[in-house]
Amino acid sequence: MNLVVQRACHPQLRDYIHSAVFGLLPFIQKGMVERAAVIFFNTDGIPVERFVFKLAVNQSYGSKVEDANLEFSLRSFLIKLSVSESLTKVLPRDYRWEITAYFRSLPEASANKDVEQWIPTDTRQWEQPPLLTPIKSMSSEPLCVQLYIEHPSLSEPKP
Amino acid sequence: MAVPSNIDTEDESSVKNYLQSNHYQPSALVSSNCINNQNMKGSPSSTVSEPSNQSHSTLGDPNFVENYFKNSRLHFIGTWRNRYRKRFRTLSDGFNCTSSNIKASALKTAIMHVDMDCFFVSVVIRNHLELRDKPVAVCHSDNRKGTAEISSANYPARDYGIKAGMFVRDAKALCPHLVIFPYNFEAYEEVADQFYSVLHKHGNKVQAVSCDEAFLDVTDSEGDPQLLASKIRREIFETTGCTASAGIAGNMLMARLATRTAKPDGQCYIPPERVDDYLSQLPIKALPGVGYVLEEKLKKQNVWTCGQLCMISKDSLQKDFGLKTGEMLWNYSRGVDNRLVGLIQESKSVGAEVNWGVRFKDVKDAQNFLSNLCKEVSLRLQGCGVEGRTFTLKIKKRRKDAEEPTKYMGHGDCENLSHSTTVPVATDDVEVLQRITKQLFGSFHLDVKEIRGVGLQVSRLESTENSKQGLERNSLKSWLTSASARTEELCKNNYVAKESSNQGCEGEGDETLGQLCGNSVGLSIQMDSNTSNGAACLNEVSVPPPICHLDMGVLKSLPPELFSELNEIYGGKLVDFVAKNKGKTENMNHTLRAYSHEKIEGAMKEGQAALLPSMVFQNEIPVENKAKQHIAKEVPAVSGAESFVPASGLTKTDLIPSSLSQVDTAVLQQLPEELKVDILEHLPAHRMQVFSPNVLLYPTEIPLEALGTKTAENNSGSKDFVLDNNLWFGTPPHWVEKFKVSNCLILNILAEMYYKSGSTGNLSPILQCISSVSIHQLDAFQDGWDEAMYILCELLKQYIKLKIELDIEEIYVCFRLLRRFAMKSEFFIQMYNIVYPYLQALVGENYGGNLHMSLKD
Repeated sequence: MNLVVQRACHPQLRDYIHSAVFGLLPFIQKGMVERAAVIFFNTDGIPVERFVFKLAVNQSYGSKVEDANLEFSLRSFLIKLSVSESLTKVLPRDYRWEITAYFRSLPEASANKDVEQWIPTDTRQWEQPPLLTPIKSMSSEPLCVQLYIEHPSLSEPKP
Repeated sequence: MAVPSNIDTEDESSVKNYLQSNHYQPSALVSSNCINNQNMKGSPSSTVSEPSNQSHSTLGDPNFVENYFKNSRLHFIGTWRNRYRKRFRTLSDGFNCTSSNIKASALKTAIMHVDMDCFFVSVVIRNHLELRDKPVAVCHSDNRKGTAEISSANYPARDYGIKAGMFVRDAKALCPHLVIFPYNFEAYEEVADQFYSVLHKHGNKVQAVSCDEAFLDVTDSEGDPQLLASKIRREIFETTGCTASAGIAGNMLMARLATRTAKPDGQCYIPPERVDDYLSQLPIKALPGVGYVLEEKLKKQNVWTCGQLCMISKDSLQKDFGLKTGEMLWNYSRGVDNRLVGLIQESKSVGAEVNWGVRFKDVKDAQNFLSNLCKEVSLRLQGCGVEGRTFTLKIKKRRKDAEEPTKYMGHGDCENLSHSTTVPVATDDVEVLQRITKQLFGSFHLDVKEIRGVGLQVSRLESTENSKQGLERNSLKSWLTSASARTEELCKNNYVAKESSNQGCEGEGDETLGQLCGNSVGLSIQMDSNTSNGAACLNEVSVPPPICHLDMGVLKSLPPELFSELNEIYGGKLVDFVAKNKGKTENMNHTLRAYSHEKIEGAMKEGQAALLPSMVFQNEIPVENKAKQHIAKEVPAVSGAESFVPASGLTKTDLIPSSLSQVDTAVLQQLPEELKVDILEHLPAHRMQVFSPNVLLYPTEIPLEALGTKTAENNSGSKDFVLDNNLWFGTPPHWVEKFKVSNCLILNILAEMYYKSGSTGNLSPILQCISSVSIHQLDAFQDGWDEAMYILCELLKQYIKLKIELDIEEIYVCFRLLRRFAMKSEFFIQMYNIVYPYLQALVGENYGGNLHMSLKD
């Protein structure tokens, strides 16, 4: 794609990320995944920043997917992402992160081995509706992906 | 009283026979032979077939939640406090003021703790003297193999080792001839009331702990506290037939501990000098506030008695268990307790939980259940007179490899999940609760078949009376609901008036009609001035509305006899009026068809006072409602009403926010869906100027016509395509053409920009082009400002609606640009302010948050 991207150095981390996301692939294709989020949270389990990918896959799209268009859109996506650092906060070292997927309907347990890697989360939620900062929205049939950052609302009670 | 202390986590007792009425014979151990044959009987083993279990769970009983709480002892105990407060309100409140200033330390205080003995059992056998010495326990079920829990056992039963919380089958195993009685909540309430009456007779300083336990501060009472205690105990026995025990000491802690020693049917006094002695061998778990977990932790440090606890330093205790708990332990181990009797603990949360009999087949089941649970919680909130802001939904979910629960219909081995959410405005409304609960429930993404328990807690409580005085009064919702209450009232008044006028002659009719007007005076400001200025002819104190204020449509559709009656009242002038105004209504109807008729009609039919018609319509209401009463079909009245509505509605700025720019976003987001949508669609983007309320006052002006034409002007070009919602359809989008031919400068510019920016279908390139034009020059034009404003706001709103689902980035860019323009232009500030609430409302709906607009540009 002729694009410079960043990825994790540590091989196991890379594998983790890859397998986690890859495990979602069949569900995304079926349109079962509504959002996927990378959530950064502090030691108490309260999120401080969430990168949310909102997905919409058009199930009834029958024609051939235009590779070039899709590639173009995705490229714009990745470019914007790499310059969005100013929108994010600097996080302390002991914070953790996880990838959470929001399903429209729960998958069958036995269907796919990969999905067994996904477990229910118990990261806490914010009490107030968060503040959204959109990063990129792209829509190229049949896929529509939007990325935005969520930060806690200013009226969110401090822990 | 033998009630488990950790009530929250304890299972609810089995309600196996709750459908059955209480027909227990004391001596016969009746387990079967029930009235309803839907209960399975005989000697059920643990492998009972499914169908007969239906009625004992959410699966079979549609009223499960309601019945559950009716028969729940935990519910009784939990909600008792509120009942007590209501009954003894003045006493307990009055007490607080006086005692708060006195420190307990200085004087030699005397505190008494009174506690009835095995309350539930004592009450049910008080009329069965022969059972006094026999083992008796209270339980829902009398089944030899049952898993219902014993809630209370008398002392003879305790001698057999029977304890509260034990399964009835285990109790029966320990004592086969144990007599089981069912609950009798009415009796419990009665006895509790009597108990407290006795206590209050002997002093005002009563702190209730539970329905059968209380503290009294008897420092200021005359005589020996011990004698007083005997007196009180005797009176309790005489009134209720049940015994009580009492402990007397210098503070609440010691008094309570003393009662422990005193039981049953006894009293015990611990003077200050004997405190240390008493405590040295006392096991730590006897201290109130030390539960299982704390006990285990202390045992690990080899602390088993209070004497041993004394030896640990305060610092060390606070380090290990926290500041408050550490201090409490240090104090208590020395018999020190500075609490004052009577300080009422306000509940921090109100809620309801069901952890027994919960089985769902499908999502619909679960939704019904949640709905009923919300009703229960709403009732409890109202009962306590509070509203809450934080809602926590707790769910017990069966663990993956858990077996069938030991207890019949129990929850078994579960993991506890909990999600909560907070809203800005406190509420106790059942529909709001249902909506929030539905949302919370959805966020769990659970398979409903795995659910074994559900609870809803409401916290961040605020007293209802206080909140009503504050924001609530000014919020849209309360205003709308109060309007409906008023119109209902008025309808009732009208009906009564009509009844009497049926019988009377005209003179009487006048009075009752006047009465109608009198009632409506409070509602309409204009009415007042009318009666003083306008409607000249009548000299009586109360007058019918001036003719010019009557609604044509209503008048025309009145049945002839009514019309003639009204005509008489107006001295024959009505006929002329109708004829005169025939011409004008056509004009009115034409211009105002822009507004959605069905919506308004529907709203009125449903009796909602929401929207424009009824609320604005204050001075027309008497006639209109009067007409409504008589007409079998509503339709004519409604169609008449609506044609009048919008014009006059828009002028009354004091009744409804007259434009979206006035709407409070937080309130708007809280409204139910239909209301929100209606408001967004019906309110104009901004206030229509020029029309002052005075215009309507003077009949000579014929304001209707003026209104009619003015609105025609404003809406003429725009109304068709605005309403069709297709400004953005087509290539180029329809708005481009319209704007090109418009006579507003700014619209022309926009259309031009469309082409300049490359004719994409998006707004952001256009806005970016605009930034090259000097923005503040746009303010210079005054021509058609209103029209332009209206159109542009519509344009933006339709654009938002179009893009919100799939392209939030675009919307974000557009609004960041608009905000930048707003820094330099009056026009854009206004536009931005108008559309902003709409934007955030839609973002909230689709993304669950608000756009972050306050970054530095």
